[in-house]
Amino acid sequence: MKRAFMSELAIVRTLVPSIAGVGLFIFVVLTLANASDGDSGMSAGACAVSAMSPIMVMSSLAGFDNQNGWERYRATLPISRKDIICARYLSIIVFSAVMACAAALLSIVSIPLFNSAGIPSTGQTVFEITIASTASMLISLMMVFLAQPLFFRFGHMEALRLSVGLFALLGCLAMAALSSSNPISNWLMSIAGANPDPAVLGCLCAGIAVLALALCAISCTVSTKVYRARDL
Amino acid sequence: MQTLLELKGVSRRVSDRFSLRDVTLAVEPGQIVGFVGANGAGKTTTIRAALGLIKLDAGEVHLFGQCYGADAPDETQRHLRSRIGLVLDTCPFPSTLKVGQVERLVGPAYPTWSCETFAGFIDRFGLNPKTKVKDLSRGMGMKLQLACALSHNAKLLVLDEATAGLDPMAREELLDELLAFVSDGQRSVLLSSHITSDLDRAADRVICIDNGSIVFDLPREDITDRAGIAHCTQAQASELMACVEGARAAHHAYSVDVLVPNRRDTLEAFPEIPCDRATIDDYLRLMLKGASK
Repeated sequence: MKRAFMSELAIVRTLVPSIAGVGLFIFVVLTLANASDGDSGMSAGACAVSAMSPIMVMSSLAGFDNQNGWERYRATLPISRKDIICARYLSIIVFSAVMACAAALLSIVSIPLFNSAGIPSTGQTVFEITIASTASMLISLMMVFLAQPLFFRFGHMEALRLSVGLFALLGCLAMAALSSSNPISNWLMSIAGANPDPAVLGCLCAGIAVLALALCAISCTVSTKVYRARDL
Repeated sequence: MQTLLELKGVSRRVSDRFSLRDVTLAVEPGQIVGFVGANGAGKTTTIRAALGLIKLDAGEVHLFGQCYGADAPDETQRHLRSRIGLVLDTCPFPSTLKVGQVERLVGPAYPTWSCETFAGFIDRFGLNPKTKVKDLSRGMGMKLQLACALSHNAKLLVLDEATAGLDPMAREELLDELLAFVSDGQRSVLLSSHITSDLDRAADRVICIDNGSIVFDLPREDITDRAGIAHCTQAQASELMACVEGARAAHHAYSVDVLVPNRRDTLEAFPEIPCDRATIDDYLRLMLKGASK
């Protein structure tokens, strides 16, 4: 597993400059555009970067798999297919966590620049940015965990098409679940609405993390089964 | 001594139009085994079966004396794969990586990886560690793969169409490396190619596959030293075909080429018929396209 992860890291390292560059651009644009909305707007840049990183790294790594026959060559290395899958999941999680931390830190560091716009440098603001960034990353990771078995089963191009459809479906379901007539939405707004209790936010985030972890375990198991059965 | 790679009766249906059928071959220590056949004959599929990349419908694969395949336990697969070096027709490493970074990609996978050996090969092959994989020429890409394959003390090298598209100098260099690799008599090479002139020089055995089945499996000398091509008239060809067991004929506009298994015997029996040495190309062409008795 460690060997597979080290090998995977060699590719992930090459992705850092391009994804970080795009992330920084998005962060600056969104932060500037939303800072006037107060501390919730201040976290928009960090949330966007945290949310996009898992999807970008998943898609990039899958693209490399199908490039020049790397996937077939890798399967001849002394690494089991299970280790390849576990290393892929671990790489995505580590990369996403690093990007989310970097985005949250950047957002926190830049708060004093917006003091004049009425955003206070308080612990509450820092906490909200951290929670928002973490939740964005976890929700995005859950989407990645749903799509990842498709990439191992169908390859990059086919899985990309299928996962777009899957994400669209999930988006529709999320919108339906969060509509004002839905009791779940009303309950969420009552506990995490305009002025949420930090403890409630923390619990919500922990709940999402547990859900993401469970989904990760299921997705990893399915991917391993799918990948073991596949001819390379 | 232990056979390094052995396929016994391997069968696998790949599509409606193509299957591997009862493929049996062996690679002994100290040998360079040439694996030839037309495009789409089943060379790569056989190599995939040998490396455990595809599941088999029937048959067995033995690597270094141990049963191996896609269903083998993870630990067995890891152990056996660590003793194989692979070179493919296209450089398989992610295109944005630099030559120096490829070591970080492949090296950690092998418990016996030697950084010094890899650096030595990179230097000897004239590869610049700062060049990106996508900027490497075909020959340089092949050399990079070869450097990886030779840096972890592999016992068996598998080359799948590795010489395709290489210029004669690069092919010559590759063959020199392969001959040096097997010179200790402990290690072997399975070299799949449709450029048979490479095998004329280097191979100890030649195995031919066509349409998923093994057509012949012979020591190279039986082809290049013993066999011959008799250039006959139609009447001579008929006579030769009737007398010589295993002869195969290819008809041209004004002559007939007849492949005979023993050139000297044929020259003694039919001194009026000119009979040249056969190349692997001739042998392959007549075995695959020629008519038998």
